[in-house]
Amino acid sequence: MAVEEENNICNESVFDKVYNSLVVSIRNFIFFKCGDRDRAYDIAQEAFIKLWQNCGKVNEGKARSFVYKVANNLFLNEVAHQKVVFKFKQEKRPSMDHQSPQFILEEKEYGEKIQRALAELSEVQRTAFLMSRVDGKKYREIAEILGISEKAAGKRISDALESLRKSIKNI
Amino acid sequence: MNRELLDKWLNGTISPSELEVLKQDQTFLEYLQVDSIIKRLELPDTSTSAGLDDLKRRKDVSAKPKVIGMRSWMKFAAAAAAVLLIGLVYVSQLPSTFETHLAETELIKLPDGSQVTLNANSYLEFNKRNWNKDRKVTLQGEAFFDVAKGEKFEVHTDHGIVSVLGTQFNVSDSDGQLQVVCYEGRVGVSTGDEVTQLGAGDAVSIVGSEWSSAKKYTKRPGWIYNESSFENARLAWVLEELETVYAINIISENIDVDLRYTGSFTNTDLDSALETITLPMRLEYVIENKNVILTSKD
Repeated sequence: MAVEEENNICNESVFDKVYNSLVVSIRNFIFFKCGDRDRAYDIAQEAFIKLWQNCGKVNEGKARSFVYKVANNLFLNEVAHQKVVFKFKQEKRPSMDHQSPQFILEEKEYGEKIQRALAELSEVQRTAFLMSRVDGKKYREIAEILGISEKAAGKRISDALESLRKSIKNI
Repeated sequence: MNRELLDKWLNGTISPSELEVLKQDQTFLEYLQVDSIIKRLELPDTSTSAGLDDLKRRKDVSAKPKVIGMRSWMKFAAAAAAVLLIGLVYVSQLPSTFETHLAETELIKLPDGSQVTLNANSYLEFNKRNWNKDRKVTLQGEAFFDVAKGEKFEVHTDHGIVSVLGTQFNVSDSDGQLQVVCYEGRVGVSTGDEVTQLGAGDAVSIVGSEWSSAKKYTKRPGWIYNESSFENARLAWVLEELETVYAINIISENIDVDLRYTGSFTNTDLDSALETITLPMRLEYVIENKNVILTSKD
């Protein structure tokens, strides 16, 4: 009984722990789909409010898949999906910059190309690819969250990588 | 490109020696370049504590409005219900009143299904409450009653009370005169101490203490069919009825209004109504807007 109480999400400290461990991934997950950071933040918050409201029905082990599912549904329920726009931070360089100006220019140019190519990827490809490259998630975790096989996850990720490579090669 | 090694790299399980093998491939070097740019993607806020604080506020906000909303809604509903109830009680105790103006009639349904047709320029009042125990209406002017069977039904007028048990009758109380015509069933008429009963086809006319009886052979008073009919009536009364029905003003010059008139005039066409009155009475008429001037032909 005591163990059950400890793992109950209605218990605020358990909920906080779940929130802290999952929220960044959830925000990124939605962000990878839509490219809108504010919306990603809002949907993640919305999803955790749903988790809180259903804390009695969802145990700690099921919380992750519950929040992902709710966030995905909230995303799908939004009618207007604006055009996806991704931006890259300017790379922070050491003050003593020894890279050639040509390299810097190339990097900038590549950045713009990848930005466009990323927006042109299919939503499923982009989401799996960025979960892997940005969040550093393993195939297995991505497959679980997206409800696909590990093999399918690997295919989406490597296909996306190949598309982006082609975009900077202008093929 | 070694597909197996690439998967290992993407899955983060590649060993340093395996990575060196991959780096021999030009395509993989380009992948590394893509990857380094992708890693600089501007991501949503990564702070969790601010998000958690914000969530707790929203949790409260999302919970509270429900309660407050419900409570204030209930308060409002309760207040509205109370006002409505008071209003209903108040209204239900008010008598229902009906008034017809010149040149209009109104069909009134009483709570028990009885019907009253109120003639022009008349007033009817009854109380819905206790209607089944106390079927009582107050009348000024003229009305035709089609009364449903039931307990005593009374029509109170300034000049007397007409009481019945399921019948059809016409009561006219105007110009200092009470006229009752019974078309069906039996009707009792009482003024002061005097009481009389009318059967179907009986009519009684009371002026002051003077009672005069007559017989009617129609099934409804003429005005129900947009007709005003008279039997041996003073011309003054006929003209008054004409004024009421058409909402006109009659100016009569050199006319003996005590002459008696028997007949009926239509309530839908002023010209033909005037014709039917003036022709037998040897009168002439001129219509000027809402005024009708009557002169004697003699």
